[in-house]
Amino acid sequence: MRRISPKLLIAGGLGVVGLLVLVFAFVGNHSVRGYLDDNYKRVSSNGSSIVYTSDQKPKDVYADIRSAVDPADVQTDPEGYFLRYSDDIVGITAAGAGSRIYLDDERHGYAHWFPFVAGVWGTGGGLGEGVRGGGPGAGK
Amino acid sequence: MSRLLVIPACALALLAAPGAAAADVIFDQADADELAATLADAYEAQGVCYGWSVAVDNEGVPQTSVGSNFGAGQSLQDAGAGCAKTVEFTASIVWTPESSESEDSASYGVSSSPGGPTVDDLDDLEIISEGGLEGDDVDVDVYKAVAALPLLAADTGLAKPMEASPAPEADSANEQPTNSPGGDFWRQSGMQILWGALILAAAVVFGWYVVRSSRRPPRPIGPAAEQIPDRPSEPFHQPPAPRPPPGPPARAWSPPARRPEPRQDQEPAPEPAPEPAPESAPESAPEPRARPRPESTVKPEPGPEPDSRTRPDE
Repeated sequence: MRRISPKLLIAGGLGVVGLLVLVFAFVGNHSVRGYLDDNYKRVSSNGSSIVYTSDQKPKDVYADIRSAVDPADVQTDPEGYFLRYSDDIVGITAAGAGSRIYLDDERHGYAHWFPFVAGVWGTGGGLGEGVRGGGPGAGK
Repeated sequence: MSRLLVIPACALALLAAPGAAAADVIFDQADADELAATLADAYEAQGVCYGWSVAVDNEGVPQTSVGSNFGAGQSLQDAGAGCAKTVEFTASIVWTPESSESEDSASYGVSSSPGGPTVDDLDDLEIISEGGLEGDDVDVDVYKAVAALPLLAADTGLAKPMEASPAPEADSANEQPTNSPGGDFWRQSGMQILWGALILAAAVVFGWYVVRSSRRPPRPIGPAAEQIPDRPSEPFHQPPAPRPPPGPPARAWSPPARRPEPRQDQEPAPEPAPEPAPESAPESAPEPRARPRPESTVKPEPGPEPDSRTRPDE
């Protein structure tokens, strides 16, 4: 029986590692809806708007969801955390000792949380631009 | 006369106007007011004083951005003397000139009453970084960090949490989200897919190289004598001799010292011929054409045929 070259074994090992990385990339968590449905208790739903609850504090829920499904942007307000995804908006606010998690599609979520995300994720005001005060550090 | 006084006064007012508008180096005035109002709501709900103080070295010009639940421009140190609990965001930013070799730099922290949030709690949210403070979106980062202070105070137990409820959709009927944030799949797995593809491509290229190098045909290696060229270099004073036609070996005629045979191993072994008479050798073997022979002197007249052909007749 012919002996396989060690270099060929290394190439094969690299190929297996690359394939595994690709497989994990494709089968990983990509939907915040699926993650919330799997990990939090559903309280109510109305169309695409769903409310979940958790015994954890808002900060812990925020960290959990953020680490599981990376959002495109985050807004903070004294009343809660707001996460924006490609098609969904998640609002996390305190509810007693725990948290309440609001999941909406983009349009309904923007409308529900308009006072907190207006002008930042859509029309209706928000932070001004070019606040660098004339500082020349851009690009440094 | 009064006209002469009005013109300089207007000029002075115009010169002073930009300075007043740039009082806050980080925020627009409207944003600073809005942030102060947000902190005021938190103060009313939680009983904790919140504020921010950002010192900016803007090309050597010191500037500050301060505010608190008492209003934009009012620092917590000045206006919050009566606060029992305080939480303040602080930062120091250095913007250097473009021509300077020094890099921009920034640092930030959270100072609060005992038991309150720390900068580690703020870092857990991953909404602000030193690099972000050096960039153009410093207002966004500072705004998020300051607005998160009441959340952190509630999380650490310094204050009670504030609850929020979704607003009726009718309140924002004409507003809509813009600037699509892109696909979740590529944001989530884009780097992973890139790395997997790179590793896989490297494996394919490396494997192809290994297989290709292992299938290379070996170099033919024969006897050492075969590597020696057939024709040894002739002495410079002799014209090149033609190859002898097939027949008796030329070595019988040529002196071995002057015509070394490089391929002795392939030549037939010397037979124990009994007739190597030196006199008969010139007659049996063809003589090189260019070599002068004593016969040419005997026959002055050129024959119709070359010597090589006439010799066998003789």
